[in-house]
Amino acid sequence: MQEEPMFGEGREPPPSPARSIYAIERPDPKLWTYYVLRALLAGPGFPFLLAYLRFRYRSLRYRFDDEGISMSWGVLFRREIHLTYARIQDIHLTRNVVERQLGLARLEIQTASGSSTAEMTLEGILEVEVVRDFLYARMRGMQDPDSSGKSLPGAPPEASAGEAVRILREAAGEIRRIRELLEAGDTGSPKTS
Amino acid sequence: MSRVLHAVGRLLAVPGPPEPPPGSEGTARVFRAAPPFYRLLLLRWGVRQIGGAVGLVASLIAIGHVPDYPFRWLLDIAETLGVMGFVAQVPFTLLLVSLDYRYRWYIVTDRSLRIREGILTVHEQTLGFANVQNVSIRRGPLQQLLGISDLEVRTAGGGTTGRHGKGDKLRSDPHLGLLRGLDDAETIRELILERLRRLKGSGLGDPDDAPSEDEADPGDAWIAGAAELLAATRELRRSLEGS
Repeated sequence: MQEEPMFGEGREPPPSPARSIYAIERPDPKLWTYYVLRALLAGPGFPFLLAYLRFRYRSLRYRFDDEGISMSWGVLFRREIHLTYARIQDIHLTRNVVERQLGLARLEIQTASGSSTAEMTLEGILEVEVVRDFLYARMRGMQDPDSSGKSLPGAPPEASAGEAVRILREAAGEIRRIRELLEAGDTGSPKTS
Repeated sequence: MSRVLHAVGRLLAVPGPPEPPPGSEGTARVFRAAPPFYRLLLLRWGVRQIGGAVGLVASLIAIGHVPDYPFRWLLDIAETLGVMGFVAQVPFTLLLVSLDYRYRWYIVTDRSLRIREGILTVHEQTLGFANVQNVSIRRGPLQQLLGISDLEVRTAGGGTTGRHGKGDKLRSDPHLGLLRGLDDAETIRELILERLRRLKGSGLGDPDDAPSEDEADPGDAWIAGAAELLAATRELRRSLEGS
């Protein structure tokens, strides 16, 4: 009965279209350089760690969408994590000396789970500050409290309130006419048609 | 001294002060560790150095008592390397201690807390006040003497402590924001608590988004209900008229 889409005022439009972030799918090649250096530190375990890291680097995929982040990696043991922006509690940004030289960083994202390690560790993203601010704007408790408090549950938005009132008035008019009918005629045996 | 520190900081590419989170202009307040914290760090460093030196001397004495055997020269080499390494690390770790004190920032905004610390590994933590469960102040005997304290801000979720050693509490518990070496921890706690109070519905169990996000528009529901009422009454009247 209502043609126009009824979007309340309090509804948040998806904040700034972060196209560059949605475009992130693979880690930067610099991550491979870092992985080689990391494997070198392993000493005798070097070939094994390097193979593992190679698989990880090759299979690492990110997907940012309107609701959350998906991340998957692994060839033999595949793993896929999905988390919603609104559940993010803490954002840790860590970079050691080598990562700083390469321009890399690790972005660890925490939710309220009981694990002591990060739920998701984003590696190999160059514009990590942009991603951090992007996540910050979407994490728990960052929505504007004023705008979220505007549309209380149950209270109709302005536009539809007028329509509802009009119909209710009409219904009241109908009831009034029923009373008149009842008062006027004998109400011995009202049949149902 | 400070020029040397800055040069080393640049050499290690330690980033400068952190930027406050976006959207917090005007509310962001930056805090630094108090000067006594530097003394505390130096003290800890000194104790560690003395411990290392005692261990080294003990091992030297022990090696001195080892009787001659064919591979004695290997031990001598290890001994020399140990002493050299110890001597070399003294200025290096001392430098790290002073840098650790200097490159340390805590930003409190209206909605979040950002902690930046670390030299070799720079660590920046951002946590939203909407998730904070409790705020506590911790003060050990040495810190009482120096008049400083640590402020702990905990968010929901578990975490083990001690897996990475006592000194590295932050890395072992990701749900803990630790503001170390504050001289006015009470003020900052009050500031954080006051901002927590302003955020209604803190903690878990509250809806995350604006209410009625996924259900139908409340306005539509009202209209539908009213229309139903109208239809029912109109039917009733028609049936009465017809009778």
